[in-house]
Amino acid sequence: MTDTQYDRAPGDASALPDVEEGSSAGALIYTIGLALAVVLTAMSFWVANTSLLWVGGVSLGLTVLAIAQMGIHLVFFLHVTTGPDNPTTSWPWRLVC
Amino acid sequence: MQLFNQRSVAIETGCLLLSSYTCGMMSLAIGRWHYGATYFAAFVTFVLGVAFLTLELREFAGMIAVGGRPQRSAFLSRLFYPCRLSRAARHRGLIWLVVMMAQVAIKGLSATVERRLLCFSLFWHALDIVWVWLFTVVLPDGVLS
Repeated sequence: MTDTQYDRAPGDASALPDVEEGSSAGALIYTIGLALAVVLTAMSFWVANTSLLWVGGVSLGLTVLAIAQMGIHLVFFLHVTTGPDNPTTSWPWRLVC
Repeated sequence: MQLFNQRSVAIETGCLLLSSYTCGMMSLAIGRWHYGATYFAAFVTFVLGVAFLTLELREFAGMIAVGGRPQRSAFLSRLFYPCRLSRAARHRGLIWLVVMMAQVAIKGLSATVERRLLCFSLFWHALDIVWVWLFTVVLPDGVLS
C-alpha cells in the first residue's frame, strides 16, 4: 500500500507496479467508460424525443450531453486524467515516455 | 421529412461504443503480450467498424435515393460532408488495423509495433469523439427538422 494508490483519478490506470493488477483495473476503467457512454447516449435519445423540454432546450440539452460524453471518452478511453503521472507502470503511457 | 432513422443511428452508436471498448481491450491484451486476445479484440473491433460503415452508407444511400443529394441545399451538405469525412477516416482506420495485425503476426509485439498500435487506438478513440459530436449536434438537425 502506497500513498499513490489513494491518489488515483477516475480513468487513470493502476498506480501500483503490479502488472496483473494494472490490467484488471484497466478493464474496469474501460467497462465504466462504456457504461457511462451508453447512459449518456440513451439520455440524448430521450432528450431528442421528449416533449418535456422546450424546443430550444432540446439542442442545448444535446450539446451538454455531447460535451459530457466527450469528457467520458477522454478520461476513460484516452486516459487523459489529472492523476499522478506514472508512465513506467501503466500501459499505454509507458510507451510514449 | 424525416431524414434519419433514429433506430439505425442508435445501432451505429452502439457499434462504435462497443468497438471503442474492444479497442481498449486490445490495448490491455497488448500490455499483457497476449497474442490471442489481441487478435480477437482487433477482429471484433474491425467487424464493428465495418458494421458501422455499412449501416451509415445504407442510410445515406437511402437519403440520396429520395432526392436528398448534398448538392441540393446547404442544409444537406452540412449533414453529408462531416459524416463523409469521418467515414473516410474510419476506412483508413480499418486499413491501418489490418496492417497492424499483419505487423503483429510478422514482427511480433515489439516496442515499435506496440507504439504503432498505441497510435491506432488513440486514432480510433478520437474518431469516436468525432462521432459523439456528429450524432448529437449534426444529425439531430436532420431528425428534428
